[in-house]
Amino acid sequence: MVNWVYELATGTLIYGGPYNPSCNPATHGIVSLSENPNPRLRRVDTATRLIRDATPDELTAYDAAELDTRMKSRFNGDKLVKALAIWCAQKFNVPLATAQQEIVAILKAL
Amino acid sequence: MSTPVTNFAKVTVSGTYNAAAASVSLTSGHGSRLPSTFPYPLTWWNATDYPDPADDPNKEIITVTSRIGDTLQITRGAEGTSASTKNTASKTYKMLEGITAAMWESVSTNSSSQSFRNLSIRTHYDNDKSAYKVVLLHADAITMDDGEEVADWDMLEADLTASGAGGLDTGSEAASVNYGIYAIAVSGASKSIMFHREKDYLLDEDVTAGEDGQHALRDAAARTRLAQGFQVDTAGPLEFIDVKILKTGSPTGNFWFTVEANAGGVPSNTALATSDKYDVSRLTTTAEWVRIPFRTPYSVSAATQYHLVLYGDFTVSAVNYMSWRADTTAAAYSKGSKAAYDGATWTTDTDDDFVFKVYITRNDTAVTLPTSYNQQALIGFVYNNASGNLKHFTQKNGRVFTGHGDDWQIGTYSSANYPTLTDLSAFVPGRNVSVYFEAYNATTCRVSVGSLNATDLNTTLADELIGTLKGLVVDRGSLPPINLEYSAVNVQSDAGTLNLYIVGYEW
Repeated sequence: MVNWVYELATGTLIYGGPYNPSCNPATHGIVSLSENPNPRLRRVDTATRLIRDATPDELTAYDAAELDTRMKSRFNGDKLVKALAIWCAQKFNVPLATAQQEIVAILKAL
Repeated sequence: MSTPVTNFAKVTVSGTYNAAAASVSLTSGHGSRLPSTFPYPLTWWNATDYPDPADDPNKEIITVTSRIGDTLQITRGAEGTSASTKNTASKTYKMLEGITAAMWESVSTNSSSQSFRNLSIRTHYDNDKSAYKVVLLHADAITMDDGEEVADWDMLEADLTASGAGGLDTGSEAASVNYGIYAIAVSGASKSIMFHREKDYLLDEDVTAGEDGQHALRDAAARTRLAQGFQVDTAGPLEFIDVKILKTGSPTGNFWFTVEANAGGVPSNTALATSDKYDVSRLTTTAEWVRIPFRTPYSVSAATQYHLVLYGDFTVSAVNYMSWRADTTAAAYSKGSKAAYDGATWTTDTDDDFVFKVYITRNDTAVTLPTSYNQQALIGFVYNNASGNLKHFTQKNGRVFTGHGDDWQIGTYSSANYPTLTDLSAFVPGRNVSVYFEAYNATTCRVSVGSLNATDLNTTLADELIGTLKGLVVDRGSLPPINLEYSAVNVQSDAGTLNLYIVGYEW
C-alpha cells in the first residue's frame, strides 16, 4: 500500500510512496493506492477520489512544467552558468530575472 | 559447535558399573587419550566378547561431560541407546570415540549449506511469461541444506501458477507477496526449482486517525513512562512497531519501548519484550515516524490486552524532553488507551490514544518439499506485485539487479527537514539485505538515506551521522548500499521532487 499526496484543485499527484506523507489539508489530499502511480500519466478525480488517466492538455502542461523546473535547476545549480549570466546582465544592464528567463527559454528550445 | 575429538581415542574401563552409574574410572593413564574439552560421545561395550562394538547387544553411547584425570563424568543412554549394566565378571569393557550419527548430522548442519557457485537466475526471458515464471539459467553447483553439493544446474523454470516442483510449494499465488526461490532435488538428482512464500510483516494495528496533539515523556515527574494499550487480531511475534515522536529542547540519553502484559487495565511493569535503545538527542523537533525493533520478539496472542510502554533514561526536565503524537480528543481506538506513570502509579486517559502501528510476523514457515524430494537450497527471491506480476529482476549469485522499471520506484518525496520512514517490504524480502538506491530529481538536491536509528537525517553533506548515506543529485544520482533491517529506511531530500528507486540488492 502506498499513500500519495495530490492537489485538491487539479488532481495532480505530487509525491508519495510506502510511507505516511504529510501535506496541507486545505490544498492537498491523500489517496491510498496498491502501487505507485505514474504522476505524469495519472490524476486523481477530485470528485470521486479515484485515479483516472491524465488528459492530453494535462500531459502537455505537466511536461512543460517538468522541463521548466529542470532547466531552471540547471541554471541555478551550475555556478559557472549563473556567474556568466550575472556578468552579462550587469554588462548589458538587464535584470538578472529577465536574463534567467530568456536564457532558460533559449535552453528549452535547444 | 563442533564435537571435540582426538585420534585413537580408545580407553579401557576400570571396575564394573550398573545402568545408573554417572562416574566411570579408566585404566591409569587412559584419560589423557580423550579430548580435554566437552561434551563428546563414547561408545561403551564388552570388548572381550565383541571385537566389533556394533555386535554387542548391550552397547551404549554415553556423553562425557567432564573428566578429571582418569575419571569421567557421563550421561548415560545417549543418541537413542539404552543405559545397561557393564558388570559381567572377567570381561574387559572399553570406550571408543568413533563417529556417531549425531556427529555426522552435525557435520552436515555446520557445513556450508544452501550456498551456490556461479548462479544465474531471473524472471523469464520471454515477455509473455515473465509475469509468472522465473528461470534458473545456470549454476555450477548448489550446496543443499544437507551439505551435499549438487553440480550442473541448467535451464530450470518455476511457474507461480503451478504447484509442487517447478511451481509453488503450497497454497496458491497471492499478489503483493515476496516469494523465496528454492533449488530442490532428490538425493542430488531430479533437480528442480520452486517458489515458497517468504515471511512478511502484517500491519495488524494502525492507529493514525485523529492525530491532533502529543504527550510528553519525562518533562515532569508525573510522566516518567507513557503507555498505549493494544490488542492484535492475528497472533504471532511482534517484531517492530512504528511510532510518531519528536523532541523538545536538547534531551540527552536514550528512549526505548517494552511490550507489557495487562495488569488491571494498565501495564504490568514487567517487559515481555524490550526494543532497541535509541538516542533521544537524534530525534528531530518535527514529529517523525520511527520504526522500533524488538530483536527478541514476544509472540502476542490475538484479542489479548497488552501495552506498549515508552521509557527514557534522560533527565526529567520541563525544557528538554520527548513527546509521542496522539489523538487527544475523543479517541476512538477501542482496544486500549493512553496511560502515564509517575514512578508509582499508572493513570489512564481513556479518550486519548497515541499514534502507533503494530506489525506481526507471519508466514514464517518451512518449505513444503514435494513427495520424494529431500533436499532444498534458497537461491533467490522475487516479489509478486499488486497486479499479480513478478517484478523483473536478474540475479548473479547473491546480487540482484532490478533495472529501472516503475515497479522498482520506491516513491516520490517532497523536500523536508526531517526524515521520512519508508517501508521497503514491497521490494525486498524481510531479511537483512544490502540495498542500492538511485535517485532522480528535476531540481538539484541533496539526499540522505539512513538506517532505522538515523532519526536525525539532514542534507548537510559535511555533517557525518552514524548510519546515514548522503549524496548530491543533479538530475540523477546513486547512493552506496545500505544494510536494511526490518524492511525500512529513513529518507530525506532538501529540494524539488525526489524520485527514489531500488536498482539492486544483495542478500
